[in-house]
Amino acid sequence: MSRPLLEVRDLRVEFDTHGGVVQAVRGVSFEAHRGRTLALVGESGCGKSVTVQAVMGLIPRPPGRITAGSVRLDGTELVGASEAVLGRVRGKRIGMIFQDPMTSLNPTMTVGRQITETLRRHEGLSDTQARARAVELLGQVRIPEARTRADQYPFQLSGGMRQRVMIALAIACNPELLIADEPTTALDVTIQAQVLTLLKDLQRERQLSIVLITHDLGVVARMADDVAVLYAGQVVESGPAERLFEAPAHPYTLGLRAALPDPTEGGRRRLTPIEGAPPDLFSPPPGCAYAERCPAAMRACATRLPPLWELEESHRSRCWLHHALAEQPAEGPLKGLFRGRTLGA
Amino acid sequence: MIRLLVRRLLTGLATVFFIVTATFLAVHWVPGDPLLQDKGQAPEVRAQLIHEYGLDQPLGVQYGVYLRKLARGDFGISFTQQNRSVNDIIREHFPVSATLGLLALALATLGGILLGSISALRRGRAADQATRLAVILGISVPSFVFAAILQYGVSELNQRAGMTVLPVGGWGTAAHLLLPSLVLGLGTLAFLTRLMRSSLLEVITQDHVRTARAKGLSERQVFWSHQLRNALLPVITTLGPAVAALTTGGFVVESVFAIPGLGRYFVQAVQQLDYTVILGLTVFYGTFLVLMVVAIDLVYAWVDPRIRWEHHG
Amino acid sequence: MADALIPMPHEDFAPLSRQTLAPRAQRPSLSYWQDAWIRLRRNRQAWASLWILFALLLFTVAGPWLWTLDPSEQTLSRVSEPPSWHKEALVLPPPAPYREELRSGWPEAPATAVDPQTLAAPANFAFIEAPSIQGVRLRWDPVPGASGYLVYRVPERQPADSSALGIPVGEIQGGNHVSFEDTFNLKAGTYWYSVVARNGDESPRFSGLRAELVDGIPLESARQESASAQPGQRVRLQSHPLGTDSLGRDLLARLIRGARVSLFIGLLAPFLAGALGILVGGLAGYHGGRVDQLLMRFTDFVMALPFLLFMILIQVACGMEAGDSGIPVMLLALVALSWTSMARLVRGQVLQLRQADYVQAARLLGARPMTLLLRHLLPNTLGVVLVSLTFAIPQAIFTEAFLSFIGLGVVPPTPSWGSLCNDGIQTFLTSPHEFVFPALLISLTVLAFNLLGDGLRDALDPRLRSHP
Repeated sequence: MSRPLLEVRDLRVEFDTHGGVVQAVRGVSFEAHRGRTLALVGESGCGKSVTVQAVMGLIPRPPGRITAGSVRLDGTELVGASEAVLGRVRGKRIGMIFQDPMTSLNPTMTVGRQITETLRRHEGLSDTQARARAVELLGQVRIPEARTRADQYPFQLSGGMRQRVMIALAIACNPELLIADEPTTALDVTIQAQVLTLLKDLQRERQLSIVLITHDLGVVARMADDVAVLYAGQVVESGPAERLFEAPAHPYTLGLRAALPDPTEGGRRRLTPIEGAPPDLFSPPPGCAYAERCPAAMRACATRLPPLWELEESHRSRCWLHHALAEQPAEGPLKGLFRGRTLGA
Repeated sequence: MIRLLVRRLLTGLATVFFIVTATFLAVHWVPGDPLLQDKGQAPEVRAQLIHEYGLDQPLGVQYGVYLRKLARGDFGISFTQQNRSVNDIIREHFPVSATLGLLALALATLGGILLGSISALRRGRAADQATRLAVILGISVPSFVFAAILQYGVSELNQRAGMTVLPVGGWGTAAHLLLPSLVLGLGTLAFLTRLMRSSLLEVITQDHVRTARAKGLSERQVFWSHQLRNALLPVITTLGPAVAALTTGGFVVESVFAIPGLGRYFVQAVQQLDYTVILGLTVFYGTFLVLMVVAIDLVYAWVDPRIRWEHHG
Repeated sequence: MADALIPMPHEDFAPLSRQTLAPRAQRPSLSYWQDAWIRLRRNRQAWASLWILFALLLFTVAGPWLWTLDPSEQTLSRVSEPPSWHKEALVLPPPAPYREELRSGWPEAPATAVDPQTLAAPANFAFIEAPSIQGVRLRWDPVPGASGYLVYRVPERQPADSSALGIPVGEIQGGNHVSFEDTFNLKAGTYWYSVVARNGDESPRFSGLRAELVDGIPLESARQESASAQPGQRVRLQSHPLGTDSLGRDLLARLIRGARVSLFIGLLAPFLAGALGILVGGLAGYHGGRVDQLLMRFTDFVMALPFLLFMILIQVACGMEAGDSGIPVMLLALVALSWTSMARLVRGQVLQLRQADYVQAARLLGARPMTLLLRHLLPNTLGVVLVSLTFAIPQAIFTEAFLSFIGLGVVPPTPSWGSLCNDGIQTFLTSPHEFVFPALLISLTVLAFNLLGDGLRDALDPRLRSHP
């Protein structure tokens, strides 16, 4: 594959809190390619939002800081870059959509002005040009009567409409990369589908690369080309979406899948929740973070962090069961999962 | 907007009416004789005066007469200085208080917004610590203490310099304004600084500010067009009470600095139990404050579109 | 993949028993109030404030037992005295009667007009007898051409020229009158006396004399302290650790008594107003509908009244008889005007809580209205009520001080911190302690309550719990 548009390597982010230092992101790596959608999946608190905020240089300092790692956008390093450089990347080369369209727009500014603001900043357009372009953009995200809507305030728009405004804002300056942080979580189901379709269409029209953050495997199945599963601030499995769905390699991914209804099975299967809770990131365990909840945990899992094994072309998994010496589970949900996928020794 | 204006004016009017009635009843409820000030009065002079002030009429009639006079803008005549009308007193002394109050208000709002912003943006650093300390002192130390300290300091300074660097009392030149407006504004300044700080700190963490940053706006742009305006909203709502605090704060400041303002006059009237003046000035102050609150409500509606639209339909 | 080749012992791949897993650090689960208490203790400012307030309470309650001096006893020989402890003073003999010195045979006024600029400085400027704080007696030789003399006095510094003489303490008519007794407000220390001849205008030439005044008390006052006092003895005086006021009353005793008044008003008024507010707000929020409409409309009206103006107005309306302290009226006015914010707050909370899922659940489970109100609604408004109460207390103390300061509050002789400030500011330039101590107490108390309020608000804010 060609050089990735966005390349994140071993990113680490910490936050100071009243209770101590939280290691929110502990060495995350992934790549996003042009024209493709990468989904970052995980339960809340696993560090997915913090990861993309670090990519944008939006980690509030203090209390947060990036302690290690690199973020390259088409080869340009963004970690440690000056505010001036970041200012030319944000909104111009990377657009971002946030989860809650109710609060992510400035309540005291018309939506039109919120869009023209970014156009004037990056494209150097005049007031009238920017205004015409903003109306055009609102039309492109399928907002009816765009001209009237541009003069309205966020509270006068519905939730779905506001999220379209957010999308218009994010794509205003033709970015190469669009980061969408749970873009549909706060929306009704029917609106969700519309917004997702809109994102897909925009991607096709503009060769956009999308990094989509979600905890909803349904959205992943619908949108993603590639997937990275995050758990407790680390990537536990990553690879092409179809491989992860067909043959998940990590017990956590399997657990996630088992916790969701599978439409192909007609809903006859019992859903199995994952017992327990993710570890405390004030003092993360030295071994595998999932060991405590894993049905096949071994001694090594508690003490040594498993490496991210490359199982096949760009499909990686972080589990000791991939070690040749590991005894494969003979029963239970993990039975046969690792057959032919062990490495080493 | 028009609808809102009419509504606010109507509630304002109702409040003024309430104030007028409450004040009228309170003053007429006073035990004792309002004309007893002058002990050596001849009975016929007294009777004459009682008739002149309408005190021999039933309360309802007096109230009606008073309301009718008020509607014409006539506040009545002083009990203790029989040749002066309350209108004259207001005309003469209110401009002094208003000048002082406006200056103090400007000082408090601008200073409060500035200091509060600096404190919030430099959260946890030295500037913030210093501002918070100053604010808590400003809120906890009564204005008359500030007045005394400043007067003492400045008179020491004048003595050292061997000339009047700054006058410590009186009225007349611009230099006379400095100390009293500072003292008058200080409490409100501290209060607004604190409010601005917490308001800005809350706005800073709001999602839409993150959106503004994600758009690639510089920190300065984010501050001026997104944080400041939204953080100002709660500050604007408290300007009504702030004006009230400055108006009544004038009572102390004008006394301490020997300024011929309406506040000092009001305090004197209360001490001399000059009922028409108390009644007139309370109604005047009350009306003034209610009008200010209405005006500030309208400014708020102008700044916050949500309020404006709420009353649209 | 080098990682894959890491040699690892076989035991590492044995199944993990749950016990071998390090037990997860269990964070103790704390109740809302326990957690708030812990966070309040961790807030150093709030904790210190709590101690200060405790000390103030002790000062107020135990003060009168520990410092038994009568706050209304006046000692006119010791007015406006700065703080002192175990002071001793020389008992002064009763002064001999003062007789003015007249130079016989000297004309009262010159026969011909004399230019005052040419008048000489009076010669032989001297004390008639040793100066004491009971009086300084001066004499000088007559000056030819003078129609009278002026005596000046400046403390500490020797006047360099006639412009530094200040204001005269004595004006003597007649060129033959050549003595003066100064008894005006004398304190122990150094004074510079000057005398100038005049004839209409005064001469630019003056004679100077330095007077060292030793502290002492007149025999008469000394006898009050100890009956056997004799002139020339040293007697120990009553200590005034914070000095005396302009009537010679002990400031510490007055501050203790004033603390009772100020704290009584400052604590009781917010509590009464708070109770009224909770009642009104609770009723409005619980009943909703028309009751709510009516009560809140009334609350809005009272809230729209200009606070201090109506404080003053209520006080005027209630009138004041001679001998009234003004305390009940002040309480009444404060309660009548300041219950509104609490009513609004509680109503909002109750309205919000009524919709809360757990209250709905309790209602579905058949909880009676009273149980609902007492067990679920009010306890959960307690936090905000407490915080707003802590902020109402300094507000009330402030209001009392403000009104008493402008003379419209607590009436003398009843001391309150505000009225003590009012007394003290009259003499602020000459004896600052009379103003400084009550002002300091007000500021300290209000500061402590404000800091405690801040701490409580932070501690009770569920968004800021100790363990995120």
